[in-house]
Amino acid sequence: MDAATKAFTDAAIAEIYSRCSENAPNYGVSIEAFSTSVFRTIEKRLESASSEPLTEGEIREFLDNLQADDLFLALACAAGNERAWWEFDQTHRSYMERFARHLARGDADPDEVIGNVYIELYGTRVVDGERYSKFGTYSGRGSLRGWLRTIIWHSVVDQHRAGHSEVSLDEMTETIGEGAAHASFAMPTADGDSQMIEQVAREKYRAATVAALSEAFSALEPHEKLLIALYHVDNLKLREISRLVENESSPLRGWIKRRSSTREKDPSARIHESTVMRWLEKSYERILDIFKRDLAGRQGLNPSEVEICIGLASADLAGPDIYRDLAAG
Amino acid sequence: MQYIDNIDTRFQDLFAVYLRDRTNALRAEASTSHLDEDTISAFVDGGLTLRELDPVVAHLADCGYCRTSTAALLRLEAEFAEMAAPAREMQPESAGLAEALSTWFAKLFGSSAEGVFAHGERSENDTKDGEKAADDNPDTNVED
Repeated sequence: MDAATKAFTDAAIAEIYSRCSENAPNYGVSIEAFSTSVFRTIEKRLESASSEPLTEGEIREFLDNLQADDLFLALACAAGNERAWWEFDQTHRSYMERFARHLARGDADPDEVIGNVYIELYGTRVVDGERYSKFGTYSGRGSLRGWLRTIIWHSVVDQHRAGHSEVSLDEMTETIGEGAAHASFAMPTADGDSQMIEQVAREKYRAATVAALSEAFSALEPHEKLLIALYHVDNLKLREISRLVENESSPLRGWIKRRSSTREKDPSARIHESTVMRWLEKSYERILDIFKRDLAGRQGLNPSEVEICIGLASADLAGPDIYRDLAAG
Repeated sequence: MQYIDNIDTRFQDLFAVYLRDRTNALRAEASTSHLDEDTISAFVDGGLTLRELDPVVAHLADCGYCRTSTAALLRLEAEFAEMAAPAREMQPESAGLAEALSTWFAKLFGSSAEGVFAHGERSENDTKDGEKAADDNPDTNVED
């Protein structure tokens, strides 16, 4: 960070600090502590996110989005300020309890979850002579309440794991987020020599399909991959996805729009489910186009063979008939 | 599975299977480098800057573990948005937990804290008194 940018940042942080301090004069957070925390996030999160030098505009965007009062409260709690803890407890505990109860759904003890979270937030571990409070990891980039939801979610996951020691975290998160067993491209075992031709044909189309899908997938932008994965792998509803981008000031919304070259008739309009659907449709049209062109062009398949490849996933679920037809032809 | 209008559903099935296989394959060879809680919650809250989004979105597109957490939090966030809570919530709470926390706070901040942390019982006068007391005894900062 050059000297001018540093001076701008120092001044902006001092202004934010002054506001927070006015709002909560008895939290005992010093300007040094506040500034150190903000600079740490700038260095650790912003500067490291790209090899390009950090600009004043990027710092301004970061500071404009900063949940300064939440960060102020978190820093005070991390330092063990009694008044701040009182405020935190009054403002957030009831919400945390309801959230934990909703999340646990009989699988974990919500009281235990919240008890553990409070202990973690206060911090019982001492590192280099200083108490390590979980609050110290909050950067103010999102709301404190959103951050608390994440902490509680992980605490519930940990408690669930403790009660299901035979289940790995991967398996558990898969069960939670991605449903039960999925179809896969794994080759079914042939049950005899009579099915040799069928197996060869299956392997040929399977390999062609996977290659074409890889080609199509690699052509996608990261945000398209993410949207499709959230929709089809994690089974989020359009309503849930649209929450990510519905706020006009959401950087993700601007980020997606820039990459998808979507023109906005009304920039202040909320993004609805139909918009997300259109984004998904657009991405899928492109994937399907690349997929078909790859099969027909690079791999030289005819239209009926392309159709076979498209039907491959459902064929894997339904059985090998499709390959038998092909082998017979 | 939920489908996208106007796109061959067979192809959507196919691509979904491909994505799941790919996610599982990446998970198996994962470097175990994951997004931290602060970054995931900031992403879900829409709090990341444009500069931060590139690496985070690229990571989420490939990492099933982080995406599963993100998806779960998005779901929960949507559910709880409809239950928007007032700043001062006076909902009935677990007596056991309240007692445990009260005792815990008392140990941390001294016996007087029991009164301070009696849940939801602060009056305006209490506030002023408390603020005055706190002003008289400024806390020392410990930066973690």
